[in-house]
Amino acid sequence: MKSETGFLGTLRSFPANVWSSIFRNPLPSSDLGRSQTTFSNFFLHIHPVKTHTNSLRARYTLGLGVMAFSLFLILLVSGILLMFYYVPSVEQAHNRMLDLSGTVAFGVLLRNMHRWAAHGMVAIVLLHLCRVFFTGSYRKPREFNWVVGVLLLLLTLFMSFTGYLLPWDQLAFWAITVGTAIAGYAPFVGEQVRFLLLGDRVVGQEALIRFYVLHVAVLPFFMTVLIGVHFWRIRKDGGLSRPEGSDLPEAQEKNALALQAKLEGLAPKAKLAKNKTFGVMGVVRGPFTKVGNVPDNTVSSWPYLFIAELFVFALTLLVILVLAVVLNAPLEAPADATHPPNPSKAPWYFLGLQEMVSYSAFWGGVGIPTIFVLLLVLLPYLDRGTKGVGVWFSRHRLLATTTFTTLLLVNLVLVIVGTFFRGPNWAFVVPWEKPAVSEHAPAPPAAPAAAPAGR
Amino acid sequence: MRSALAFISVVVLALHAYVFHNQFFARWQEYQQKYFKDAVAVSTNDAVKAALTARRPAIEQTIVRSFGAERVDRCQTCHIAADDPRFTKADQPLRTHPPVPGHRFETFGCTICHDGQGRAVDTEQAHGAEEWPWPLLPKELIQSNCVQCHTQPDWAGAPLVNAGRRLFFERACYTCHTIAGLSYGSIGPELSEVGRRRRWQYVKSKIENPRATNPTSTMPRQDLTDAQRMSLVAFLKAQQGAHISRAPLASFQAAQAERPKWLPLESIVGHETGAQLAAQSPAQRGAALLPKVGCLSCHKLDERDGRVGPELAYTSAQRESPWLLAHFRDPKSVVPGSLMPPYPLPDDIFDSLSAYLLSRRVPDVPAEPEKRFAALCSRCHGEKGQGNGLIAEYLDPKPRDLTKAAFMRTKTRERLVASVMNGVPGTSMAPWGKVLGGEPGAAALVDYVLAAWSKDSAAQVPKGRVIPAANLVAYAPESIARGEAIFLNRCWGCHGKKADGHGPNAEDIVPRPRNLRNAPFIASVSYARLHESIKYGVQGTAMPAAGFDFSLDDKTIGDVINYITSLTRPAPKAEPAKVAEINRTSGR
Repeated sequence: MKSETGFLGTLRSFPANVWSSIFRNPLPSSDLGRSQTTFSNFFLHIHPVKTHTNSLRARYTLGLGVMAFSLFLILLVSGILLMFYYVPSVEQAHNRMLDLSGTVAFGVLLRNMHRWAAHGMVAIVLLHLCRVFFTGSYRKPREFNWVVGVLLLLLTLFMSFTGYLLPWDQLAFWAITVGTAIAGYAPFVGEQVRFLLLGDRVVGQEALIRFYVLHVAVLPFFMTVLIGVHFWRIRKDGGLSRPEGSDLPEAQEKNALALQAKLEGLAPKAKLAKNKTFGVMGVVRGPFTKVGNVPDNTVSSWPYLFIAELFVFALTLLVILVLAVVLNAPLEAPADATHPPNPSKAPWYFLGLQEMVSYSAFWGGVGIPTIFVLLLVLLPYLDRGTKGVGVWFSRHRLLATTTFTTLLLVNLVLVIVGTFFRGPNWAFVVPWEKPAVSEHAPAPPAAPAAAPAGR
Repeated sequence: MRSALAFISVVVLALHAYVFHNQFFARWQEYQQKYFKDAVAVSTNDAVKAALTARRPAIEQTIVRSFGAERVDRCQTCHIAADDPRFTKADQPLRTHPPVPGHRFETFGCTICHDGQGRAVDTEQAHGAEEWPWPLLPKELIQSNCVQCHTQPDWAGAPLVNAGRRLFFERACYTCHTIAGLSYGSIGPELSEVGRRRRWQYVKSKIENPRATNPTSTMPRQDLTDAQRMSLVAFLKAQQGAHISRAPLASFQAAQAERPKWLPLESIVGHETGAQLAAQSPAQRGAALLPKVGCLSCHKLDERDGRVGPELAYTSAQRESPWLLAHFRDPKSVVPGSLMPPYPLPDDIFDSLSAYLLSRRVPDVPAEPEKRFAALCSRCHGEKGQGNGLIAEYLDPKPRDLTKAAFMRTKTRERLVASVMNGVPGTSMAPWGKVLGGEPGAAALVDYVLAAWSKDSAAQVPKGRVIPAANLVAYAPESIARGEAIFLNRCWGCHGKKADGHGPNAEDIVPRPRNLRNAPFIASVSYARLHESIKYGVQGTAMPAAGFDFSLDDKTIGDVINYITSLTRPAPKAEPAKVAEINRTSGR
């Protein structure tokens, strides 16, 4: 850039100077420029400058991780905006919901987006876990990141659970009453844990303020930190998992050229450029610090990775927006401790637990879930096999896949039964049949044709 | 990928446009704009026209701080023409509110009369669907909110509430339910703040069918017209005071101290009627009071039938004055399973009522046993004698199922005739001897019942039973203790640990196990019958033959009977020598 002098020159170059002070690189046109752009931008530099082509295969990742993170961002923004209107007090909370659903500008939209994104995040995080499991990606060296992921799942559930109480309507009050009652079934410490959560023996003002602080400060903090760790470990563990052999030069070169050609709409090149110049960006690539001059199966993160991520984000935002416009978040009558609905149901993702609790309080509410979580956490340390990583439903992992699928299906069935097939007194009902008139309630007597005088 | 991204971005932008449009052109804004337009059309003043044309839609709200907790009423955001008298014929939400002199919207808001969610500006939320605690009240129930301030008794502006209050007494609701300052019943739930805690639809459904939401409710279902029900609902919706029991301890105790032994008659029938009645003879007074204090809310007399309690027309041939007075004061003292609440009324009213009942001529009864059964027995025992008559569900013990031949045919005819003649003390079975014209009439009825309903002739009155005429064991503490041990080993499963007939198995047994704490009944049964029932069982019921099944000998059965007797009779005095012996053995 030609430097200009004098006041007029300073004025003329003012916009360019401001721009270049913020964005150090012009829009990149070479591989080096692309690397520099990624490397020197605060928001982009958590990404590697080069991305393995396998990580960009939509059918491999399904974009679930980015989707979950997008939902987290949507929740963060809508949640902070909602905080401007919410008061965690039993007298005011429900009134504030009414304000949001009518008077506050965009209040309905914000509340709907927050509600549907929260449910969506629970679902997507679960699906993300399934993806990682079915592709065997938790195996060495990614064991610890799997553990971080399981913690993030638990945090997500807890975030959603604490948020469930805040509207202080009947749905919230009784779902939390049921949910915390399940916690109370834990041996020795159950009652204490419940008391610690509620600050009382029943759900009330103390519980509301505790859940509020957990929901808007404590849990988001840990979540943000753990998300950071989760992303950082992806880099340190050598990027996303990929099938064995996808790094072999012959395969790489062909794949990379084909992908590049496809992405750029160009005719395939004969060969990748062999003589590359590596800056620091090249050194910090993969799990190890290395500089190689070998062709590999990577493409520049700018633009391929970023466009893919942006696409997933936009798609997620679109779905949440459509849901928020079409479906209103439920708001029931204000919480009333003397008027329990029958049945009282926990949030949907805990209905599997509640269903199991209806058979055995301890095993359903505490025993089985604890075993399940422990198994999840310990999984990468128990399963030390190396074959079948990076491939969906690999033949080498038939036993693991089958076991996991079975447990998953059982839980799914329990959730569905708990959601749709349980009526008053937790009795089995068929959702598409109208409930029969209770045999205890005899038909009212025929009304007298005319009431006798004097009545 | 890039074109897909571009497409999605465009759709997201379009959605934003939609959302912004909804935000800035909401329904209430359309209503307001329509109002501005219509108001301009009917305005004559140019300045007003200009002002209306310049006006932009805005949330209209009233913050009411003068009445209890702060209310924010935004109703006029849609109902913007409520205080504009020119829109009396317009469609809602732009119609003029009918004038209510002295009630300015700025001071009172809207929800204080109408209920509903004042904060919402969306129809569904504001008017509140049925599950909301404060859905918009139907017009006629607004009275319930009027009387929150207009507390004068019988205020003319709330005819429905006043009619409801009269029904509350006429239908005997006051005998079971407490409403602070009005009544002191303790059998049903307190209703002092039912209007604040329940939706009117719920209150109405409970009156229509008390068992709709609570299958074990003992509240009798009242035979009311819909208008009567609505007036009761209006009266109950008006009960928004605080529960007596939730008041601070000092004021609770004060209220209890002030609690009268009985309700003044004037508060039930009104001052005028009360004064008129004072001059009349007891029987006349009773005749006037009987339908007013709630008796016919359950009982049957002449053409009125509450469909819950026994018929009163035959009282003069069945009961004496002392029995009636004892029954009025505490029905459970003579029929322990009675549903009837003790009446909070002074003795002179009970005197009048019994004078009236005893002065009535007993209606003529048909001569044929068949017609007699239909006229006298079927109300409890059912048209076909199955024990499922009109009022059977409200009686305890339940009326006998006369079709159960295994029971009926194994009892002596003399015993059955005696039950009809003298009634069964402690139960709702009244003595019918006088009505039926003495023993021949009763015997004929029993023969008819046996022939018509208890047809299984295979069952026979058992013979050759060995039963001691009197207890072989003295009535003494040790015997009672032994009897209790046996009872808690063998009998409690059905009769219950308290011997009140509510053991864990009792629910599945028909007829229900006897309540052994039913003093009038136990006192009326001979020792021999108790002994026989325990030793040989009771055929046609679930009572087993303990003398054989559990190998209880006659002395052990004597212990058990001593225990049963001790439940309803004062404890025996131990002899001094024995007391000394017990003290010695226990080391005192």
